[in-house]
Amino acid sequence: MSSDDENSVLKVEDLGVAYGAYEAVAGLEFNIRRGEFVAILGPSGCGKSSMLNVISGLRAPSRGRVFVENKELFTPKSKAPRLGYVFQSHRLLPWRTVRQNLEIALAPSAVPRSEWNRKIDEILEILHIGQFKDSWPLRLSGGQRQRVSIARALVVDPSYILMDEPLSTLDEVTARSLRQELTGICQRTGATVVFVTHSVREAVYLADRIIILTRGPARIYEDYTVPLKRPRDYDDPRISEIESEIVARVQAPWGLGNTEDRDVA
Amino acid sequence: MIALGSMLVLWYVMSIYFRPWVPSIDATAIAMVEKLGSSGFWDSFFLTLGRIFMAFACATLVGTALGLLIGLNARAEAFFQPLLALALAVPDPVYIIFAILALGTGEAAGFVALTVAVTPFVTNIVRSNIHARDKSLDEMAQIYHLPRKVRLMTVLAPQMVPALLTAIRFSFALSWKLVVVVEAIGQPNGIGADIFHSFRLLRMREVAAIAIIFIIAMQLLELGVLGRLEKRLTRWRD
Repeated sequence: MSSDDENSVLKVEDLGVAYGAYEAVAGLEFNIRRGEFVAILGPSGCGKSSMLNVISGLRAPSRGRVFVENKELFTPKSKAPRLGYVFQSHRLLPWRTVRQNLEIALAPSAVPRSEWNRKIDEILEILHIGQFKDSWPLRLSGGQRQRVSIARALVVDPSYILMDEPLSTLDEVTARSLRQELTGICQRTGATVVFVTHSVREAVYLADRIIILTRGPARIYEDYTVPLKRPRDYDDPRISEIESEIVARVQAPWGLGNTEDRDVA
Repeated sequence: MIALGSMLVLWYVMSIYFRPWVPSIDATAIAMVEKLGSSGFWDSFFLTLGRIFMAFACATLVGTALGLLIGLNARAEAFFQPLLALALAVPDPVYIIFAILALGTGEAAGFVALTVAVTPFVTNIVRSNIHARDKSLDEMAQIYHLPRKVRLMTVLAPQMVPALLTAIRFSFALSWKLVVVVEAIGQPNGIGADIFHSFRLLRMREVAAIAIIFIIAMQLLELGVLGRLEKRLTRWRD
């Protein structure tokens, strides 16, 4: 086993997803290593959701194989992956407090019950929402709820965390603040993150690598390594340069004509 | 208050023009005081209350269980849906008449008739709300591997609370009205039988007095018990 395989958290080989005659994803191949922050960038309707359904273990692929920590998924003996998921909307249980929402996610995990309190307190403190642990989610702001959703994803000690446009429903000021914290939180916790986004700038700011998909059926157009060191500044002119460069490059594969759009989708 | 005042004015006017069929307010009030002081009234009251709770509890439990089954299982829905549509279309007195014909005028007839009449409404409310639940929470539960019991009790059941409260309220309201009808038609005792007895003797003030006391008691029960239950179960919304 190579060192690359040893560090592999999520590996996808020739992944295809079809709904009858319609092909949503065609032959995706990528390997995400431990601790990496990888952004998946693609236009609307390119098949990102179909891909997410497969790599989250919700749906078996039509073809190809998926490996989580070198164990193949979707075989008769395989177990569902242990992952955290941050959805576009928070998907918290409004009738449970913040703490209870985290406990519900912890219950089926491998984390021993004696560790729960310490772990919950620690994660909530990292996300600056410790004071809200006994609050109902409906009493929190949109940004605070999304922080709880991130805390729920982190608390279960996941192999990897899927984030499906988690900041897209927040106002720009809140999104900017959370974006700024997200990289620090992931570095502190060592989490492996697959971050799906429409925003090129967000991908450049957050990710170590950007997997750029084509229009549907989704194929990999480019696996791009972001040439910037951390910490990064969202307003750094180099981020703008890379953003413009990527936007210019994806015009053809995304079937677009307007090179002025920052949020390409 | 305005509605209540208007009703009293209407009652007063009607009692002048339709005497003795519409009793006067003061005569009815005196009859109410007499009834409240009579042990016979309270015997009937608690007998009827017991019947209501039996039918209400049974219809709510069976209706909720059937609603969950139909809402969550496509095969069960395919089987039960036409039967449910049929059951909802049958007028309630038909159940009462058939139950009395089949089982006689004993306790069983009333219980069966009420349960069969109320259950489809509860089933329908629960089934509709299962379909309207937030399915994105099901997906969340699947991703975080929540066990079946947790999904049912923590994810699904709380979403059903408003529907269950509506079903309980509806079931209770329908139960007490039907119990009174069943007692009037086929029982020798209970509030319904007392009302019918007073009606046959043309004691209209007694009919009105018993009916008003009973309606007020049922409203208090509904608002007091169910209202508090609702407040407690939905406190996370406040």
